[in-house]
Amino acid sequence: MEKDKEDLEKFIDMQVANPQFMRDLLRIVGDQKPGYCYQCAKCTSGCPANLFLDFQPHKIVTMTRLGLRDQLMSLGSIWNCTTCMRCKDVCPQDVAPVDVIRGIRRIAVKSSLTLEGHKRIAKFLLSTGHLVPIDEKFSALRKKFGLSPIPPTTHKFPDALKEVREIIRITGFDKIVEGSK
Amino acid sequence: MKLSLYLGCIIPTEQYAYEACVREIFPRLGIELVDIEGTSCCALPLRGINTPFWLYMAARNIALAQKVGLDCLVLCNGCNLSLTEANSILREDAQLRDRINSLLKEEGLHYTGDIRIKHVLEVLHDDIGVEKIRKVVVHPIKDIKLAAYYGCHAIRPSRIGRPDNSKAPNKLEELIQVLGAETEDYPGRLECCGAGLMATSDIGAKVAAVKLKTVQNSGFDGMVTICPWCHNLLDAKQSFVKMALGEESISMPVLYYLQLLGLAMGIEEEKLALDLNLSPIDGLLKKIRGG
Repeated sequence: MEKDKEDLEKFIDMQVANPQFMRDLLRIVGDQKPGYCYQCAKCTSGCPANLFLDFQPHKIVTMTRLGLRDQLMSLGSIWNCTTCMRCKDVCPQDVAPVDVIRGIRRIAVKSSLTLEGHKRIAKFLLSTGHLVPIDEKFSALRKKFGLSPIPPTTHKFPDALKEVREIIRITGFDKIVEGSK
Repeated sequence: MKLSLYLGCIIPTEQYAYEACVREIFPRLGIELVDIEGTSCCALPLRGINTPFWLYMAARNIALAQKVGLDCLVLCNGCNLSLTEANSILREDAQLRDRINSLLKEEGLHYTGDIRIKHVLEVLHDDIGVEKIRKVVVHPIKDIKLAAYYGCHAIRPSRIGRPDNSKAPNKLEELIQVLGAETEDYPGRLECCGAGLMATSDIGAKVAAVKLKTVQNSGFDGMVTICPWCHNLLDAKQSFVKMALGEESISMPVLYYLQLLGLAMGIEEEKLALDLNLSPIDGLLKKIRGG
């Protein structure tokens, strides 16, 4: 309880609240309803990330409603959600904190706050159309088990890979790997 | 029954044992699998990063499957959720559908959403059926207690329709029991394995360590998976999980359900790619052979 109090005192500073934030977020999360949250904390009670970290989805929803954009962006914990969908399933108010969190991530990425791990897998996506690349070792082993050495995906069809790269360009996804190490 | 087969990222590469098993076993159960050409990542792990990108990628993959003209078997829990959710969004939103289609036109594709995305659990339990599986068991798995592990996205979010009930799923247990093995509930049966965090943090390994220890302490001989990402973490990365956390006591054999089914059907072990499992499965295999 003491710790909760400290956190709240640290985060709730309405002088820096940004009312536009909730509107931006609502455009992303579609039919979810962060405004309906009544802080029952059912989401937090079953959250796997909460077991290991001080990650509390109901608190994130509240900070979102209050428009505490910059504080949320600076919280490492917005990246700790495993997207297990438990909160979406148990929320009595259709808030679906997981979707709110994914919306916050989207806004963070637009503000160039992408994690290196995401940039790394995004690079594989750009070069192969997949998150896991295939190499000669896998090809040889696939063959051994009677599978085609190259699977019938973008790995095998260069024209399909071109189309995927076009999707990546059109949707601006390629921008996230810019400036990565 | 004919189905198209969507592979995704990890199944044809690091987890091709799953692909080898499904191609070996399904035809024997009367399911003919047809490849889809030119598919890509389903984009689910990057959905939060760029939502339109996810939806476009998912819709393109569905449109490619539609060209084959069959319902589509999507083995991976994550890919399965991705394509199912995209289907449910695009079927309802005509405006969005038109926008996606205007982009897909470049490639000669058109999304209509009139095929079903099928989960392996659904095909085994509902389409093939437990009774038909009972008939193909020639080598019952006796005196072995196995923990069924669904993985999150096979059961949640329930509002878009998942292959089993989110609160009390039982299909995987039924499929294990029909092979002769025992199974029962355990703490954390329906909770996350941690794989969703592996790309960006070490918390995933902690979540997995707790899961493996709980299963071990509950007296199971092994763990049965249906999702390649859960399997990759619990099986292939088990030694990493042990080392990273100094949990030397962890020792839990992990098998794909299809590997277990293949063993019960009397299929040669080489064909089930069992030497690709990196968790300590030798003792369990010996027990299964002896049974």
